[in-house]
Amino acid sequence: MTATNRWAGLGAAALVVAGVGVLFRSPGAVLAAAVAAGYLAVRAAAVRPRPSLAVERVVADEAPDPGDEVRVTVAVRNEGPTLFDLRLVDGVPDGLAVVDGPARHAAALRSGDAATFAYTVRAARGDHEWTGLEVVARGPLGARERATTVAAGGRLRCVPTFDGATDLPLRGLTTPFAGRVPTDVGGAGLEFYAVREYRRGDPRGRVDWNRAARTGELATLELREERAATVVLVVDARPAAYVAPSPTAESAVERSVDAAGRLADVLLSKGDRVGAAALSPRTTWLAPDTGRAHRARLRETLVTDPGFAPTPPDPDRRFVSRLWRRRFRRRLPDDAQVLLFSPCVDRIPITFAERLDALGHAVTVVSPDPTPHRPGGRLAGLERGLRLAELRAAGVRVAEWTPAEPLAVAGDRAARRWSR
Amino acid sequence: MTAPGADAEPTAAPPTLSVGLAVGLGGLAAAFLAAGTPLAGAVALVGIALLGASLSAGSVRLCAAAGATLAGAVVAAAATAAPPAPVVGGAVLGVAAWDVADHGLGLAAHVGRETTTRRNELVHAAVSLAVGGAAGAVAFGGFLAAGGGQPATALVLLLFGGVVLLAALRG
Repeated sequence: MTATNRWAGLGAAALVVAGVGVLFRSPGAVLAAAVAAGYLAVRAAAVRPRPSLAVERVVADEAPDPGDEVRVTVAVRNEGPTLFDLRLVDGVPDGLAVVDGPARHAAALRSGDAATFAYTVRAARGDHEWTGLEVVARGPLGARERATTVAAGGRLRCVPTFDGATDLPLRGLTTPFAGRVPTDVGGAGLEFYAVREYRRGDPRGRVDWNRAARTGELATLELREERAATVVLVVDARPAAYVAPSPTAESAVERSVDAAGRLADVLLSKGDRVGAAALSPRTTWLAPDTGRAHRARLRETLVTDPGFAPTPPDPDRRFVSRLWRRRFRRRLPDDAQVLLFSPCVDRIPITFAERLDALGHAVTVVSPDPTPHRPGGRLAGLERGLRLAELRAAGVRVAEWTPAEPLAVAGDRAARRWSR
Repeated sequence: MTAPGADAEPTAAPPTLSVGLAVGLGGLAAAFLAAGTPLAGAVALVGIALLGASLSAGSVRLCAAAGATLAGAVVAAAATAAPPAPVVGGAVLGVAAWDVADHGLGLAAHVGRETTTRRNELVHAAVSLAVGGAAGAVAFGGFLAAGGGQPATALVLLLFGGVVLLAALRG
């Protein structure tokens, strides 16, 4: 309960007016002061508002697709005495944007009356939960107000479908297990790799009979061995990475997580081991693994883990990239390669990728382009271009990904340039 | 590069109904005071202009200044020996105008302009006018019953008013 101090000056004004009225022997002014006294008397006598409300919130679609617009209806019923002045502000979860109608309402409710208001949110990836409705109740003249939060639940769970039409060639760092990643190891496989001289025990099918007929010497065809890889998908989700070309566009983190989800699906289908981590103060680590249970776990992590949340972490939380890097390296299996998703708006992901690549973990950077088509954006784009050029010079593969094109196109374009 | 997820934030401007009501009530108050003496009407008009400015700028401080100017208009009416009836009417309407404007600014801060606030505003304006009207009627009725200016009764009434005022101020 707080005093709003709305009427603070009225008493003084009334005294001045009354004084002037007496001075000039003017009954009108004294009567005007009496009017003010009436207001002050009612203010003093007014009961303090004690809102007793029942709130019901209805979310039209509790499991929408990302980008869907969902209507949220809030019904507030007064279960106490009359409330003259009631202001309601709905606690919309952080990750959801209100696109139509403010999530607010002002009403005056008699005992037993109900007010209803509705607004529309755009669904975003994640598990969103409403907890309360903020209520500010004022008395009839607004002299005192009481602010409370009325509990009212509501839930919206938005799980994108990461359908796997996207592919990105992996680098040649693999596990000893059979898979789909072509390696620089000769052996059994599909693609021609080299010819070497025959050794006892080589399978007859791999002997190069043409050459034997021509020269009389036996030679064995070596084929490129295809093996499975261990891939850790790292999404840059530091506050700096939550950037988008326009206020309504998807953030780089959102696009990164989407791409990571799609690639994870494809890689897991090919038998690779896939893990995930967030380069963020909200540390998230899912060790690489394979199998159906892991696929479900990975998807759940990408969709709902706070590390990959659609809203930036608290900027006050300390993030020391060197410590994060050290811990990440301790967790990273020796034969793992890293797919880093980052808009590369500063040097931290660049250093991370370079160091990791130098340590032998082959790094591929997928960089969603967040720069807008404005003079300032063009400058930021140039700086980003220089950073990406530095990465390429250090031997890191980089796939640039503009907002207009699907990842598959960007991946294809980049893959044509990459030599194996 | 801009941060995404821009909310459809409500504009922190007072609802149009409040603006209309406040300026309307203020205009009426100015008319009443002008019927008293032209000087009071002129000062009241300045007050209404300030009230309008405060509503368009969304400034509570400017709104308080407008209220003070309206009180100044009543003082001007007293100084120029205006008849009591228009001064009482002007005071009731002036306080109500200031109250509605200040309420509108409070709504602007809490819920913004796009929200449905009609019922809230109308109830508040009605309560304010009812309180002011009742107080004005009681005071003016008492004044008339006293017979229009017998020195002894006027003094008693004055003292009574002062006591009520003090009691109210302490509450």
